[in-house]
Amino acid sequence: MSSKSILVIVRHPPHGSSWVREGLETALVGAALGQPPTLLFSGDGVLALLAGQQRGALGQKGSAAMLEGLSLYDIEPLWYDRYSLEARGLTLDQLMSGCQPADIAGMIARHDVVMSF
Amino acid sequence: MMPDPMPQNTDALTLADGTEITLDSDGHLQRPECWSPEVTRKMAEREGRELTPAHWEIIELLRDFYTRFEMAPAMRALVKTTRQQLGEEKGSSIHLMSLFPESPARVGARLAGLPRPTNCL
Amino acid sequence: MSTLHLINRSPFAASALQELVSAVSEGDHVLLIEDGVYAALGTAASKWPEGVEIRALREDCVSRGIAPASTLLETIDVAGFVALTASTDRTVSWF
Repeated sequence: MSSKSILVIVRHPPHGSSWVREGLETALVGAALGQPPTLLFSGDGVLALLAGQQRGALGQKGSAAMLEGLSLYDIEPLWYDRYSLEARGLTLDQLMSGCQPADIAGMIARHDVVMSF
Repeated sequence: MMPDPMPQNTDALTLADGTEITLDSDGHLQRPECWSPEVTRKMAEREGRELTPAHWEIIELLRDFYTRFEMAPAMRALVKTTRQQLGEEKGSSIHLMSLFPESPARVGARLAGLPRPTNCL
Repeated sequence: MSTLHLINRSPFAASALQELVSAVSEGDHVLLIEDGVYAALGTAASKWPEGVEIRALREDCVSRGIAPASTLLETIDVAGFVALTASTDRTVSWF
């Protein structure tokens, strides 16, 4: 099997739709096949990285618990776009552990395949 | 037409107090919140498995993983988390395969009363 | 090595276009498709960095009444879209 580097970009906020969970599940499939992808949060996707999230009002699963477990699948760090974070008035200390700022243009250019969620 | 309350292909376990625990077509709990150690014992008994303390250690670890991360671990994550919590010797595919020969992640999750591992292909 | 970026959201409804501007590299191609073609109407198109080719999908411009002649951008048809997909190394969708 040819090994391609995969970048998963999450650009949607958690809870309002299942985009984040779907992006994470895709990343987990890559990890299960022995190709842990790079995971990048941009735009409203950075909101999925906020610390202190809970389940939804009706007990629906969010994505924060899954994110905390990704390092066990060798999916780390959790990359984020610095400008998206700043635009939302947030700083790194408000995010869960394991997050690191990324240069989004360079990251896209370095991967063979890019999947957006 | 009303939906069938008991879909076909389901199976059930009967506990000592008469409670029926329904299973889906893959043998996982239909309602994971109904789990108790007795459920695991009944499942193992039906499958002809003998559960040793070494098995229970992994079952507890699987349940703890699910509580923390809201997913059942696939093999790679199961090995890694076992190594972190129980040490190098137990945190190996060999040890896990000896306990749950067919597929440690899948069989372990079922016995622990969890859904199938999220990314188990 | 170049990337084809596809954007299908109106610049007036979503911030995808703004994000995309910071995610392109020199030599990349941007293709406005579906509601993304509304970016061809106004100032949104002028903010791009140097060395990035911006085009709009002709069929989507025509269906929305944005006549190719009135846009600031080059347009390509679906066949051109396919050719562009084949000539770039990767495709990223912004939606």
